[in-house]
Amino acid sequence: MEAAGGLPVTRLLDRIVRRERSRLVAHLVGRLGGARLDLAEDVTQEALAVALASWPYQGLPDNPAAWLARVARNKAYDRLRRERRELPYDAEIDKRSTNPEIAPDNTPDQDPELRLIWLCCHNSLSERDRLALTVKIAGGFTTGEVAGLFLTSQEAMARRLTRAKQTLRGSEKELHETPETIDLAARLKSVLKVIYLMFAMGYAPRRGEYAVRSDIALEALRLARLLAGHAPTATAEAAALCALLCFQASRLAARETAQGGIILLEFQDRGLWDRNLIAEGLGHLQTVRQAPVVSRYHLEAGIAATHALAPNWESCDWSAIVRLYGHLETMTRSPVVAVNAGVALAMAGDPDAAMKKLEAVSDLASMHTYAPYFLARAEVLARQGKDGAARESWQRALTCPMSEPVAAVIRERLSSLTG
Amino acid sequence: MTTYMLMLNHAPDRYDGLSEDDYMAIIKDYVGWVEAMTEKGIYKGGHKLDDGPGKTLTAASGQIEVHESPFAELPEVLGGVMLFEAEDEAAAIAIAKAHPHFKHNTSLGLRAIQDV
Repeated sequence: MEAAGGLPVTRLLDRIVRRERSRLVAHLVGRLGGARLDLAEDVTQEALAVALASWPYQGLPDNPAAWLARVARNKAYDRLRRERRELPYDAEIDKRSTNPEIAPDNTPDQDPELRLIWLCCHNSLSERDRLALTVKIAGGFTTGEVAGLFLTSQEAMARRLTRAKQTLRGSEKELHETPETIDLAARLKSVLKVIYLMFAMGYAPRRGEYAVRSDIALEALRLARLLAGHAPTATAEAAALCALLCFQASRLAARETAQGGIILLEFQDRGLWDRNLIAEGLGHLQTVRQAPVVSRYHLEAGIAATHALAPNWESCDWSAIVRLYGHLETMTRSPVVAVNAGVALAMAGDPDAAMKKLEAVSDLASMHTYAPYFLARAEVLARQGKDGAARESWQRALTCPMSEPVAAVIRERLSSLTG
Repeated sequence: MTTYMLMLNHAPDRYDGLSEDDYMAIIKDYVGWVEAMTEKGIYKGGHKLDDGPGKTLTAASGQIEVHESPFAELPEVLGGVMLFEAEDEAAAIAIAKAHPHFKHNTSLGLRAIQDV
Protein backbone atom coordinates (compact mmCIF):
# COMPACT_ATOMS: atom_id res chain seq x y z
CA MET A 1 0.00 0.00 0.00
CA GLU A 2 0.98 3.64 -0.38
CA ALA A 3 2.60 4.74 2.82
CA ALA A 4 0.43 7.52 4.22
CA GLY A 5 2.04 10.93 4.37
CA GLY A 6 5.25 9.59 2.86
CA LEU A 7 6.04 7.54 5.97
CA PRO A 8 8.16 4.43 5.47
CA VAL A 9 5.94 1.39 5.82
CA THR A 10 7.82 0.14 8.88
CA ARG A 11 7.22 3.41 10.74
CA LEU A 12 3.60 3.34 9.67
CA LEU A 13 3.33 -0.17 11.10
CA ASP A 14 4.77 0.98 14.44
CA ARG A 15 2.21 3.77 14.59
CA ILE A 16 -0.70 1.54 13.65
CA VAL A 17 0.11 -1.12 16.23
CA ARG A 18 0.54 1.31 19.11
CA ARG A 19 -2.34 3.54 18.12
CA GLU A 20 -4.86 0.82 17.37
CA ARG A 21 -3.94 -1.21 20.43
CA SER A 22 -5.14 1.59 22.68
CA ARG A 23 -7.96 2.74 20.40
CA LEU A 24 -9.48 -0.73 20.02
CA VAL A 25 -9.36 -1.40 23.76
CA ALA A 26 -10.94 2.02 24.39
CA HIS A 27 -13.77 1.45 21.93
CA LEU A 28 -14.48 -2.08 23.11
CA VAL A 29 -14.53 -0.96 26.74
CA GLY A 30 -16.75 1.92 25.66
CA ARG A 31 -19.21 -0.58 24.30
CA LEU A 32 -18.88 -3.46 26.76
CA GLY A 33 -18.16 -1.55 29.95
CA GLY A 34 -15.12 -1.31 32.17
CA ALA A 35 -15.76 -4.73 33.72
CA ARG A 36 -14.81 -6.28 30.35
CA LEU A 37 -11.41 -4.63 30.19
CA ASP A 38 -9.74 -8.05 30.15
CA LEU A 39 -11.84 -9.23 27.22
CA ALA A 40 -11.19 -5.99 25.34
CA GLU A 41 -7.45 -6.35 25.87
CA ASP A 42 -7.46 -10.05 24.95
CA VAL A 43 -9.29 -9.69 21.65
CA THR A 44 -7.25 -6.63 20.73
CA GLN A 45 -4.06 -8.55 21.40
CA GLU A 46 -5.37 -11.49 19.36
CA ALA A 47 -6.31 -9.24 16.45
CA LEU A 48 -2.84 -7.71 16.49
CA ALA A 49 -1.27 -11.16 16.61
CA VAL A 50 -3.24 -12.17 13.51
CA ALA A 51 -2.20 -8.96 11.77
CA LEU A 52 1.45 -9.34 12.65
CA ALA A 53 1.45 -12.94 11.43
CA SER A 54 -0.26 -12.27 8.10
CA TRP A 55 0.88 -8.75 7.15
CA PRO A 56 4.53 -9.82 6.67
CA TYR A 57 3.27 -12.07 3.87
CA GLN A 58 0.38 -10.03 2.48
CA GLY A 59 1.59 -6.53 3.12
CA LEU A 60 -0.47 -3.94 4.97
CA PRO A 61 -4.17 -3.82 4.06
CA ASP A 62 -5.57 -0.62 2.52
CA ASN A 63 -7.13 0.42 5.81
CA PRO A 64 -5.20 -1.31 8.61
CA ALA A 65 -7.25 0.35 11.36
CA ALA A 66 -10.54 -0.89 9.93
CA TRP A 67 -9.01 -4.33 9.31
CA LEU A 68 -7.96 -4.59 12.96
CA ALA A 69 -11.28 -3.24 14.23
CA ARG A 70 -13.17 -5.86 12.22
CA VAL A 71 -11.02 -8.75 13.43
CA ALA A 72 -11.14 -7.60 17.07
CA ARG A 73 -14.90 -7.06 16.93
CA ASN A 74 -15.48 -10.51 15.46
CA LYS A 75 -13.34 -12.05 18.15
CA ALA A 76 -15.30 -10.17 20.79
CA TYR A 77 -18.59 -11.42 19.26
CA ASP A 78 -17.27 -15.00 19.33
CA ARG A 79 -16.21 -14.74 22.94
CA LEU A 80 -19.50 -13.26 24.05
CA ARG A 81 -21.49 -15.79 22.02
CA ARG A 82 -19.63 -18.56 23.80
CA GLU A 83 -20.62 -16.88 27.05
CA ARG A 84 -24.20 -16.63 25.72
CA ARG A 85 -24.26 -12.93 26.25
CA GLU A 86 -25.92 -10.38 24.08
CA LEU A 87 -23.57 -7.84 22.64
CA PRO A 88 -25.05 -4.43 23.24
CA TYR A 89 -25.37 -2.98 19.80
CA ASP A 90 -24.55 0.64 19.32
CA ALA A 91 -24.41 1.63 15.68
CA GLU A 92 -22.68 4.89 16.50
CA ILE A 93 -19.72 3.19 18.19
CA ASP A 94 -19.60 0.67 15.39
CA LYS A 95 -19.27 3.43 12.83
CA ARG A 96 -16.55 5.09 14.83
CA SER A 97 -14.40 2.04 15.28
CA THR A 98 -14.41 1.23 11.57
CA ASN A 99 -13.60 4.83 10.69
CA PRO A 100 -11.17 5.67 13.44
CA GLU A 101 -9.80 8.66 11.58
CA ILE A 102 -13.09 10.46 12.06
CA ALA A 103 -12.53 12.12 15.41
CA PRO A 104 -15.94 13.11 16.71
CA ASP A 105 -16.21 16.38 18.54
CA ASN A 106 -16.34 14.71 21.93
CA THR A 107 -16.51 16.09 25.40
CA PRO A 108 -14.13 14.52 27.95
CA ASP A 109 -16.78 12.16 29.32
CA GLN A 110 -17.73 10.94 25.83
CA ASP A 111 -14.32 10.36 24.35
CA PRO A 112 -13.69 6.58 24.55
CA GLU A 113 -9.93 6.97 24.80
CA LEU A 114 -10.11 9.54 27.54
CA ARG A 115 -12.66 7.39 29.35
CA LEU A 116 -10.25 4.45 29.26
CA ILE A 117 -7.66 6.69 30.89
CA TRP A 118 -10.15 7.60 33.65
CA LEU A 119 -10.85 3.92 34.19
CA CYS A 120 -7.18 2.95 34.45
CA CYS A 121 -6.42 5.85 36.81
CA HIS A 122 -8.55 3.98 39.32
CA ASN A 123 -8.65 5.11 42.95
CA SER A 124 -7.83 1.60 44.19
CA LEU A 125 -4.34 1.84 42.69
CA SER A 126 -1.27 3.62 44.00
CA GLU A 127 -0.27 6.59 41.89
CA ARG A 128 2.75 4.84 40.41
CA ASP A 129 0.65 1.79 39.47
CA ARG A 130 -2.02 4.03 38.02
CA LEU A 131 0.43 5.81 35.80
CA ALA A 132 2.20 2.65 34.63
CA LEU A 133 -1.02 0.77 33.91
CA THR A 134 -2.64 3.69 32.13
CA VAL A 135 0.36 4.40 29.94
CA LYS A 136 0.46 0.69 29.07
CA ILE A 137 -3.24 0.17 28.33
CA ALA A 138 -4.48 3.58 27.26
CA GLY A 139 -1.22 4.59 25.61
CA GLY A 140 -0.81 1.31 23.75
CA PHE A 141 2.86 0.98 24.67
CA THR A 142 4.82 -2.22 25.20
CA THR A 143 5.96 -3.31 28.65
CA GLY A 144 9.53 -2.52 27.59
CA GLU A 145 8.60 1.02 26.67
CA VAL A 146 6.78 1.59 29.96
CA ALA A 147 9.75 0.14 31.87
CA GLY A 148 12.01 2.62 30.07
CA LEU A 149 9.74 5.49 31.07
CA PHE A 150 9.84 4.55 34.76
CA LEU A 151 13.58 3.83 34.73
CA THR A 152 13.06 0.22 35.78
CA SER A 153 13.63 -3.24 34.32
CA GLN A 154 11.19 -4.92 31.97
CA GLU A 155 10.69 -7.82 34.41
CA ALA A 156 9.93 -5.54 37.34
CA MET A 157 7.47 -3.55 35.21
CA ALA A 158 5.73 -6.73 33.99
CA ARG A 159 5.18 -7.78 37.62
CA ARG A 160 3.92 -4.33 38.59
CA LEU A 161 1.44 -4.28 35.70
CA THR A 162 0.11 -7.75 36.51
CA ARG A 163 -0.44 -6.76 40.14
CA ALA A 164 -2.13 -3.50 39.17
CA LYS A 165 -4.52 -5.30 36.87
CA GLN A 166 -5.44 -7.76 39.60
CA THR A 167 -6.26 -4.85 41.89
CA LEU A 168 -8.33 -3.21 39.18
CA ARG A 169 -10.22 -6.47 38.63
CA GLY A 170 -10.93 -6.59 42.37
CA SER A 171 -12.78 -3.28 42.13
CA GLU A 172 -15.62 -5.01 40.32
CA LYS A 173 -18.42 -2.65 41.33
CA GLU A 174 -16.67 0.52 40.26
CA LEU A 175 -15.71 -0.93 36.92
CA HIS A 176 -19.34 -0.57 35.96
CA GLU A 177 -19.01 3.17 36.06
CA THR A 178 -20.87 5.11 33.43
CA PRO A 179 -20.01 8.56 32.15
CA GLU A 180 -22.74 9.89 34.40
CA THR A 181 -21.39 8.39 37.60
CA ILE A 182 -17.64 8.66 37.03
CA ASP A 183 -16.00 11.30 39.17
CA LEU A 184 -13.89 13.16 36.64
CA ALA A 185 -12.43 15.87 38.81
CA ALA A 186 -11.18 13.50 41.54
CA ARG A 187 -8.99 11.57 39.11
CA LEU A 188 -7.86 14.54 37.12
CA LYS A 189 -4.43 14.75 38.74
CA SER A 190 -3.41 11.27 37.59
CA VAL A 191 -5.01 11.75 34.21
CA LEU A 192 -2.99 14.91 33.60
CA LYS A 193 0.19 13.13 34.65
CA VAL A 194 -0.51 10.28 32.26
CA ILE A 195 -1.03 12.68 29.38
CA TYR A 196 2.20 14.45 30.35
CA LEU A 197 4.09 11.12 30.34
CA MET A 198 2.55 10.02 27.05
CA PHE A 199 3.56 13.29 25.47
CA ALA A 200 7.13 12.78 26.71
CA MET A 201 7.24 9.33 25.11
CA GLY A 202 6.39 10.92 21.77
CA TYR A 203 8.46 14.07 22.13
CA ALA A 204 11.63 12.45 23.50
CA PRO A 205 11.53 8.65 23.18
CA ARG A 206 13.99 7.11 25.63
CA ARG A 207 14.74 4.14 23.42
CA GLY A 208 14.19 2.80 19.94
CA GLU A 209 14.90 4.03 16.46
CA TYR A 210 12.93 7.29 16.36
CA ALA A 211 14.04 10.81 17.27
CA VAL A 212 10.42 11.79 17.82
CA ARG A 213 7.09 9.97 17.57
CA SER A 214 4.92 12.91 16.71
CA ASP A 215 1.71 10.86 16.45
CA ILE A 216 2.00 10.08 20.18
CA ALA A 217 2.81 13.65 21.14
CA LEU A 218 -0.10 15.02 19.12
CA GLU A 219 -2.51 12.47 20.57
CA ALA A 220 -1.49 13.58 24.07
CA LEU A 221 -2.00 17.19 23.02
CA ARG A 222 -5.47 16.31 21.69
CA LEU A 223 -6.41 14.81 25.08
CA ALA A 224 -4.99 17.80 26.96
CA ARG A 225 -7.02 20.19 24.81
CA LEU A 226 -10.12 18.12 25.42
CA LEU A 227 -9.62 18.44 29.18
CA ALA A 228 -8.71 22.11 29.12
CA GLY A 229 -11.66 22.93 26.89
CA HIS A 230 -14.51 21.50 28.95
CA ALA A 231 -15.79 21.98 32.49
CA PRO A 232 -15.37 20.30 34.97
CA THR A 233 -11.93 19.26 33.79
CA ALA A 234 -10.91 22.75 32.64
CA THR A 235 -8.86 23.49 35.74
CA ALA A 236 -5.86 25.78 35.91
CA GLU A 237 -3.64 22.69 36.07
CA ALA A 238 -5.18 21.29 32.86
CA ALA A 239 -4.71 24.62 31.08
CA ALA A 240 -1.09 24.80 32.25
CA LEU A 241 -0.42 21.28 30.96
CA CYS A 242 -2.06 22.20 27.68
CA ALA A 243 0.17 25.28 27.44
CA LEU A 244 3.28 23.21 28.12
CA LEU A 245 2.37 20.63 25.47
CA CYS A 246 1.58 23.37 22.93
CA PHE A 247 5.04 24.91 23.40
CA GLN A 248 6.80 21.56 23.14
CA ALA A 249 4.69 20.37 20.19
CA SER A 250 5.50 23.60 18.35
CA ARG A 251 9.06 22.28 18.01
CA LEU A 252 8.25 18.80 16.71
CA ALA A 253 8.99 19.61 13.07
CA ALA A 254 12.26 21.35 13.97
CA ARG A 255 13.39 18.46 16.16
CA GLU A 256 13.87 15.87 13.43
CA THR A 257 16.01 15.79 10.28
CA ALA A 258 14.64 14.45 7.00
CA GLN A 259 16.68 11.30 7.67
CA GLY A 260 15.14 10.78 11.11
CA GLY A 261 18.06 12.23 13.08
CA ILE A 262 17.50 14.40 16.13
CA ILE A 263 18.17 18.15 16.33
CA LEU A 264 18.48 19.33 19.91
CA LEU A 265 16.90 22.63 21.00
CA GLU A 266 20.21 24.44 20.83
CA PHE A 267 20.62 23.78 17.11
CA GLN A 268 17.03 23.95 15.90
CA ASP A 269 15.89 26.22 13.08
CA ARG A 270 13.48 28.36 15.08
CA GLY A 271 11.77 29.41 11.86
CA LEU A 272 10.31 25.90 11.77
CA TRP A 273 8.61 26.31 15.14
CA ASP A 274 4.84 26.31 14.83
CA ARG A 275 3.80 29.89 15.69
CA ASN A 276 0.13 28.95 15.99
CA LEU A 277 0.89 26.40 18.68
CA ILE A 278 3.09 28.90 20.53
CA ALA A 279 0.24 31.41 20.40
CA GLU A 280 -2.19 28.77 21.65
CA GLY A 281 0.19 27.95 24.50
CA LEU A 282 0.50 31.61 25.47
CA GLY A 283 -3.29 31.85 25.41
CA HIS A 284 -3.60 28.96 27.87
CA LEU A 285 -0.93 30.50 30.12
CA GLN A 286 -2.81 33.80 30.06
CA THR A 287 -5.93 32.11 31.45
CA VAL A 288 -4.06 30.67 34.44
CA ARG A 289 -2.03 33.73 35.43
CA GLN A 290 -4.30 34.34 38.41
CA ALA A 291 -4.51 30.69 39.45
CA PRO A 292 -4.38 30.34 43.25
CA VAL A 293 -2.29 27.15 43.10
CA VAL A 294 0.80 26.79 40.95
CA SER A 295 1.37 23.28 39.59
CA ARG A 296 4.51 21.82 38.10
CA TYR A 297 2.90 22.27 34.71
CA HIS A 298 2.74 26.04 35.28
CA LEU A 299 6.46 26.10 35.98
CA GLU A 300 7.39 23.82 33.10
CA ALA A 301 5.14 25.80 30.76
CA GLY A 302 6.91 28.94 31.95
CA ILE A 303 10.28 27.39 31.10
CA ALA A 304 9.02 26.20 27.71
CA ALA A 305 7.51 29.65 27.01
CA THR A 306 10.86 31.30 27.79
CA HIS A 307 12.49 29.09 25.15
CA ALA A 308 9.62 29.68 22.73
CA LEU A 309 10.03 33.46 22.96
CA ALA A 310 13.83 33.52 22.73
CA PRO A 311 15.30 34.44 19.33
CA ASN A 312 18.09 31.88 19.82
CA TRP A 313 19.66 29.50 22.34
CA GLU A 314 22.33 31.87 23.65
CA SER A 315 20.13 34.91 24.20
CA CYS A 316 17.45 32.94 26.02
CA ASP A 317 16.59 34.37 29.45
CA TRP A 318 18.59 31.71 31.31
CA SER A 319 18.31 33.41 34.69
CA ALA A 320 14.50 33.25 34.42
CA ILE A 321 14.80 29.57 33.56
CA VAL A 322 17.12 28.97 36.53
CA ARG A 323 14.56 30.64 38.82
CA LEU A 324 11.72 28.51 37.46
CA TYR A 325 13.77 25.32 37.84
CA GLY A 326 14.50 26.36 41.41
CA HIS A 327 10.77 26.45 42.18
CA LEU A 328 10.24 23.21 40.30
CA GLU A 329 12.96 21.47 42.29
CA THR A 330 11.47 22.62 45.59
CA MET A 331 8.07 21.38 44.45
CA THR A 332 9.03 17.99 42.98
CA ARG A 333 12.32 17.01 44.69
CA SER A 334 12.96 15.13 41.47
CA PRO A 335 16.55 14.27 40.43
CA VAL A 336 15.45 14.58 36.80
CA VAL A 337 14.50 18.20 37.47
CA ALA A 338 17.85 18.70 39.24
CA VAL A 339 19.66 17.52 36.10
CA ASN A 340 17.77 20.04 33.95
CA ALA A 341 18.36 22.75 36.53
CA GLY A 342 22.08 21.97 36.28
CA VAL A 343 22.09 22.55 32.53
CA ALA A 344 20.24 25.84 32.99
CA LEU A 345 22.76 26.99 35.62
CA ALA A 346 25.63 26.20 33.28
CA MET A 347 23.92 28.14 30.49
CA ALA A 348 23.34 31.05 32.86
CA GLY A 349 27.10 31.18 33.30
CA ASP A 350 27.62 29.32 36.56
CA PRO A 351 29.12 25.88 35.72
CA ASP A 352 30.44 25.40 39.25
CA ALA A 353 26.97 25.71 40.78
CA ALA A 354 25.72 23.42 38.01
CA MET A 355 28.28 20.77 38.92
CA LYS A 356 27.33 21.00 42.59
CA LYS A 357 23.71 20.35 41.65
CA LEU A 358 24.66 17.31 39.57
CA GLU A 359 26.98 15.99 42.31
CA ALA A 360 24.06 16.12 44.74
CA VAL A 361 22.15 13.46 42.77
CA SER A 362 25.17 11.45 41.56
CA ASP A 363 24.73 8.70 44.18
CA LEU A 364 21.15 7.89 43.20
CA ALA A 365 20.92 4.51 41.47
CA SER A 366 18.32 5.81 39.00
CA MET A 367 20.87 8.33 37.70
CA HIS A 368 23.44 5.64 36.85
CA THR A 369 21.45 4.53 33.81
CA TYR A 370 19.95 7.94 33.02
CA ALA A 371 21.64 9.32 29.92
CA PRO A 372 20.57 12.98 30.41
CA TYR A 373 22.47 12.99 33.72
CA PHE A 374 25.76 12.10 32.03
CA LEU A 375 25.06 14.43 29.11
CA ALA A 376 24.44 17.32 31.50
CA ARG A 377 27.64 16.43 33.33
CA ALA A 378 29.59 16.37 30.09
CA GLU A 379 28.23 19.80 29.08
CA VAL A 380 29.14 21.29 32.43
CA LEU A 381 32.61 19.70 32.49
CA ALA A 382 33.28 20.99 28.98
CA ARG A 383 32.31 24.50 30.12
CA GLN A 384 34.73 24.12 33.05
CA GLY A 385 37.44 23.30 30.52
CA LYS A 386 37.77 19.70 31.75
CA ASP A 387 37.74 18.09 28.32
CA GLY A 388 39.02 14.67 29.37
CA ALA A 389 36.35 14.27 32.05
CA ALA A 390 33.68 15.60 29.68
CA ARG A 391 34.69 12.99 27.14
CA GLU A 392 34.42 10.23 29.74
CA SER A 393 30.96 11.42 30.70
CA TRP A 394 29.78 11.37 27.09
CA GLN A 395 31.11 7.85 26.76
CA ARG A 396 29.34 6.86 29.96
CA ALA A 397 26.09 8.33 28.59
CA LEU A 398 26.34 5.98 25.61
CA THR A 399 26.08 2.99 27.96
CA CYS A 400 22.61 4.17 29.13
CA PRO A 401 19.33 3.37 27.41
CA MET A 402 18.54 6.02 24.80
CA SER A 403 17.04 6.36 21.36
CA GLU A 404 19.32 5.58 18.43
CA PRO A 405 19.23 9.14 17.03
CA VAL A 406 20.39 10.55 20.39
CA ALA A 407 23.20 7.98 20.49
CA ALA A 408 24.22 9.04 16.98
CA VAL A 409 24.45 12.69 18.06
CA ILE A 410 26.66 11.76 21.04
CA ARG A 411 28.96 9.64 18.90
CA GLU A 412 29.27 12.53 16.46
CA ARG A 413 30.16 14.83 19.32
CA LEU A 414 32.78 12.40 20.59
CA SER A 415 34.40 11.97 17.19
CA SER A 416 34.52 15.76 16.70
CA LEU A 417 36.45 15.98 19.98
CA THR A 418 39.02 13.50 18.72
CA GLY A 419 39.42 15.37 15.42
CA MET B 1 9.62 -13.17 -16.29
CA THR B 2 9.15 -16.29 -14.20
CA THR B 3 7.21 -16.49 -10.96
CA TYR B 4 9.12 -17.97 -8.02
CA MET B 5 7.90 -19.26 -4.71
CA LEU B 6 9.79 -18.67 -1.47
CA MET B 7 9.10 -21.22 1.25
CA LEU B 8 10.12 -19.65 4.52
CA ASN B 9 11.22 -22.16 7.14
CA HIS B 10 11.79 -21.54 10.79
CA ALA B 11 12.51 -23.53 13.95
CA PRO B 12 9.22 -24.59 15.60
CA ASP B 13 9.93 -22.47 18.68
CA ARG B 14 11.53 -19.57 16.83
CA TYR B 15 8.87 -16.99 17.74
CA ASP B 16 8.02 -18.29 21.21
CA GLY B 17 8.65 -16.08 24.23
CA LEU B 18 9.93 -13.05 22.32
CA SER B 19 9.32 -9.64 23.86
CA GLU B 20 6.83 -7.48 21.96
CA ASP B 21 9.64 -5.17 20.91
CA ASP B 22 11.85 -7.97 19.56
CA TYR B 23 8.96 -9.59 17.72
CA MET B 24 7.97 -6.26 16.22
CA ALA B 25 11.50 -5.67 14.95
CA ILE B 26 11.35 -8.96 13.00
CA ILE B 27 7.89 -8.23 11.62
CA LYS B 28 9.03 -4.83 10.41
CA ASP B 29 11.86 -6.38 8.42
CA TYR B 30 9.48 -8.69 6.59
CA VAL B 31 6.81 -6.05 6.00
CA GLY B 32 9.49 -3.69 4.72
CA TRP B 33 10.69 -6.31 2.25
CA VAL B 34 7.19 -7.03 0.96
CA GLU B 35 6.57 -3.28 0.59
CA ALA B 36 9.80 -2.78 -1.37
CA MET B 37 9.02 -5.71 -3.68
CA THR B 38 5.45 -4.48 -4.15
CA GLU B 39 6.75 -1.04 -5.11
CA LYS B 40 8.96 -2.65 -7.75
CA GLY B 41 5.85 -4.43 -9.02
CA ILE B 42 7.33 -7.91 -8.63
CA TYR B 43 5.59 -9.10 -5.46
CA LYS B 44 2.79 -11.51 -6.28
CA GLY B 45 1.35 -12.21 -2.86
CA GLY B 46 1.97 -14.53 0.01
CA HIS B 47 0.38 -16.46 2.80
CA LYS B 48 1.23 -17.24 6.38
CA LEU B 49 0.49 -20.90 7.08
CA ASP B 50 -1.43 -21.73 10.22
CA ASP B 51 0.89 -22.65 13.08
CA GLY B 52 -0.70 -26.07 13.59
CA PRO B 53 1.04 -29.20 12.29
CA GLY B 54 -1.69 -29.95 9.74
CA LYS B 55 -2.42 -33.40 8.35
CA THR B 56 -0.72 -35.78 5.96
CA LEU B 57 -2.97 -37.90 3.74
CA THR B 58 -1.60 -41.14 2.32
CA ALA B 59 -3.16 -43.65 -0.05
CA ALA B 60 -2.61 -47.16 1.25
CA SER B 61 -4.30 -50.46 0.36
CA GLY B 62 -7.18 -48.86 -1.49
CA GLN B 63 -8.09 -46.19 1.01
CA ILE B 64 -6.80 -42.82 2.04
CA GLU B 65 -5.48 -42.50 5.57
CA VAL B 66 -5.24 -39.23 7.46
CA HIS B 67 -2.22 -38.78 9.75
CA GLU B 68 -1.09 -36.07 12.11
CA SER B 69 1.88 -34.38 10.52
CA PRO B 70 5.07 -34.46 12.51
CA PHE B 71 5.73 -31.07 14.01
CA ALA B 72 7.67 -30.45 17.18
CA GLU B 73 10.37 -32.97 16.44
CA LEU B 74 11.19 -31.35 13.10
CA PRO B 75 14.19 -29.04 13.11
CA GLU B 76 12.23 -26.59 10.95
CA VAL B 77 8.64 -25.98 9.91
CA LEU B 78 7.22 -24.13 6.92
CA GLY B 79 5.95 -20.78 8.19
CA GLY B 80 4.54 -19.40 4.97
CA VAL B 81 5.04 -18.81 1.27
CA MET B 82 5.66 -15.75 -0.90
CA LEU B 83 5.44 -15.36 -4.67
CA PHE B 84 7.53 -12.95 -6.70
CA GLU B 85 8.68 -12.44 -10.27
CA ALA B 86 12.26 -12.54 -11.50
CA GLU B 87 14.01 -12.59 -14.87
CA ASP B 88 15.68 -15.95 -14.32
CA GLU B 89 16.90 -18.28 -11.61
CA ALA B 90 20.09 -16.30 -10.96
CA ALA B 91 18.04 -13.14 -10.39
CA ALA B 92 15.61 -15.06 -8.16
CA ILE B 93 18.50 -16.42 -6.08
CA ALA B 94 19.93 -12.93 -5.71
CA ILE B 95 16.56 -11.67 -4.45
CA ALA B 96 16.18 -14.63 -2.07
CA LYS B 97 19.68 -14.08 -0.67
CA ALA B 98 18.80 -10.49 0.21
CA HIS B 99 15.62 -11.53 2.02
CA PRO B 100 15.47 -10.40 5.68
CA HIS B 101 14.49 -13.99 6.47
CA PHE B 102 18.21 -14.73 6.71
CA LYS B 103 18.63 -12.10 9.39
CA HIS B 104 16.24 -14.05 11.63
CA ASN B 105 16.29 -17.66 10.33
CA THR B 106 18.60 -20.03 8.52
CA SER B 107 16.80 -21.56 5.54
CA LEU B 108 14.25 -21.02 2.83
CA GLY B 109 13.17 -22.99 -0.22
CA LEU B 110 13.06 -21.47 -3.69
CA ARG B 111 11.01 -23.01 -6.51
CA ALA B 112 10.03 -21.75 -9.92
CA ILE B 113 6.36 -21.91 -10.85
CA GLN B 114 6.22 -23.73 -14.16
CA ASP B 115 5.69 -21.42 -17.10
CA VAL B 116 2.79 -22.20 -19.36
